[in-house]
Amino acid sequence: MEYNTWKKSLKFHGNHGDLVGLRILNNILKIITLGFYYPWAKVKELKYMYNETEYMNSRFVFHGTGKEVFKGFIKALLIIGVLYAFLLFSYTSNNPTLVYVGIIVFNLGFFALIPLALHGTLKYRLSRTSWRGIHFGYRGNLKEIYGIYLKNILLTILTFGIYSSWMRVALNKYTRSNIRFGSIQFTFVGKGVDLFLINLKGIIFSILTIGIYSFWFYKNRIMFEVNNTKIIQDGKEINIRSTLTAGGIFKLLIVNYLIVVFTFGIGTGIAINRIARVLFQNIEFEEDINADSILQTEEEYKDASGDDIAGMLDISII
Amino acid sequence: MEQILYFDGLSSRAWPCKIDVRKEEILIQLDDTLEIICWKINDLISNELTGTTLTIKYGEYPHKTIEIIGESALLYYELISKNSFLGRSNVLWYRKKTPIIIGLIFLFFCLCVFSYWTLIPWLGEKATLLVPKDTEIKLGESIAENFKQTEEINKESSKLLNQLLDSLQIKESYPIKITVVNSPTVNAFALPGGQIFVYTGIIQKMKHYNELVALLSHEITHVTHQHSLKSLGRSAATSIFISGLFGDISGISAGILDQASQLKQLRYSRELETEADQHGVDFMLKYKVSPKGMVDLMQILDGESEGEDGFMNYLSTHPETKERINALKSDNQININFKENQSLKTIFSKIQQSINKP
Ligand SMILES: [Zn+2]
Repeated sequence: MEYNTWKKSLKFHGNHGDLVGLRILNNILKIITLGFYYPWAKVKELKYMYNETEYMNSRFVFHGTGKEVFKGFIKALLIIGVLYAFLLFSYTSNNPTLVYVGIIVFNLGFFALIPLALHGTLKYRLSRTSWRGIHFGYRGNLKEIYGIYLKNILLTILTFGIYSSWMRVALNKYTRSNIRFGSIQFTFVGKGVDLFLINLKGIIFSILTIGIYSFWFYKNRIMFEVNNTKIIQDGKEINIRSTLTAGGIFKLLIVNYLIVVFTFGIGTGIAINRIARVLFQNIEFEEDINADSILQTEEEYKDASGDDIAGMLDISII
Repeated sequence: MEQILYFDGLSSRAWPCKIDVRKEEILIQLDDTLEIICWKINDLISNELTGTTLTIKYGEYPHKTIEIIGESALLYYELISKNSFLGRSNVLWYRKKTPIIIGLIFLFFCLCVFSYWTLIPWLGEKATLLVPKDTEIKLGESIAENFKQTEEINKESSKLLNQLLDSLQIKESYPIKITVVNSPTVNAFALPGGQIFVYTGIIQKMKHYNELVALLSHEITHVTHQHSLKSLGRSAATSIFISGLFGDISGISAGILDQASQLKQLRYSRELETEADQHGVDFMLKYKVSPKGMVDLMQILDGESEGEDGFMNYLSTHPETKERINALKSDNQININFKENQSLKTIFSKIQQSINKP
């Protein structure tokens, strides 16, 4: 029997009562303030989730503030507000061509915002994350990610969606290679054709098995994301893998669904905790990084608007 | 596990240490080198407690940090907060305060119920006051254009109905435009800004022009009192509220557009219907048409609700007919009688002819 030397160095300590309580308080304040408490609520939840996540006996820290996120929230609200204003204007114009133009511009606008949201989220979220006093960072360039995105989305449209697997890989490669954790770097080695096969198999078998295969599909997609990401410290590559099983995902999702439904949404915090726990505790590291020798490399960064556009477009990244 | 670690912000090396919190400074002694570092409490960047972890940041970026994990975190947090200008920042301040949490849940629940039923719809209704009249009229026109493309319009009787209105010489704050739709459906509805749609099915059941004028006056009241815009505001506000409650931001905007497209199937609240009935009666009195027509109209609808066509009839947009009949009958004005208006009578019979043509 092969002895498993891989390390489960990520732990999640989230406590159900704490998170449920936090979410209840946040929701109360959100409602009383007609939603304007949202940035502060989000920050508190992130602080909590990061603090409960432990890697090699040290916790992550989220440094964002409600004020920063509030500024981003207002910017995102303005950008998305302009899009909606344009749509509403074309709806009331009584001119059928203008209505079509409005709908097209509206949808294009949303598509055009995706790279901005992705870039902004990575840049803000990572710059506000630290572990042992060392900050994460994202060095991607907005122009470059737009270039990759536009080329890939064009090919995706021309191939009726088939190319989307390659698009995902291209974006992963670009974003992962630009993430820094002090002197530690990351890389993504997945191939578009592999993701395409996972998706093809996933869709066909999910239909044939009336959805039962979708749990294996989920598992394969998570494994593709995790197993193809590598950590590079001082020139050495460290592999990561996910030990998540289809049965594990099935249990997680079914129980979560029951919890959320039977508590009328109040227990959503429990479901979130469960997801984080299962996800993190199933990640294994080929070996641990040298925890004492990471050097601070990233500079200070200020702008939270991308994060909130992402929130409004319903893109979840971290 | 209880530990106090110092990070210098330059590398990830963790320095186990002991700290001593004084009135104006924090003294940090590193276990390995016995070096002593002094932080001025007034220069702290943050002093933040999350669960059982206290993070204290100091100095320019990259900040120096102390992390205290364990039960003593709370102790140090309180000690430093007392001497610091920094606001309190304890993410889980409610820990071990279960009664407060339960009390808040209860309060929250009451607030939700209260908001959902009263405050939120009221706010939504008030928000529609901000919509300029021009926009309201344009909105109605564009929905009407869309609707006309899917239905068979009876041009002749539409013209006659508009003539009937002209002969009453009404002066209303909105340009009223009536369109007759060929359909056995017993229904009629008003869009924002003055567009009124009447189905041939309801005209066929009428026996007197009083009833037709009653129907129009009822719908005109929906227009002049901005009922559809108000209802739109109310339901949009509730759907925003629900989306907000479940943290679904993208649902909010989708909700508003959804509501706008549903406008013609809008069901008004009982208050708005009663208002439309009562003002409808006033309207009829003003233009010298016997208000008894309103009661007769209701009776047509009441009969209809017992018919088999329970699906897309007037009842689905106009609830509680019996109560409305009783409310109308309790008003003495309903018995005022005007003598027959010959020109209205002529137009009414022409309308009836035009819809009965094959
Ligand atoms: Zn009505």
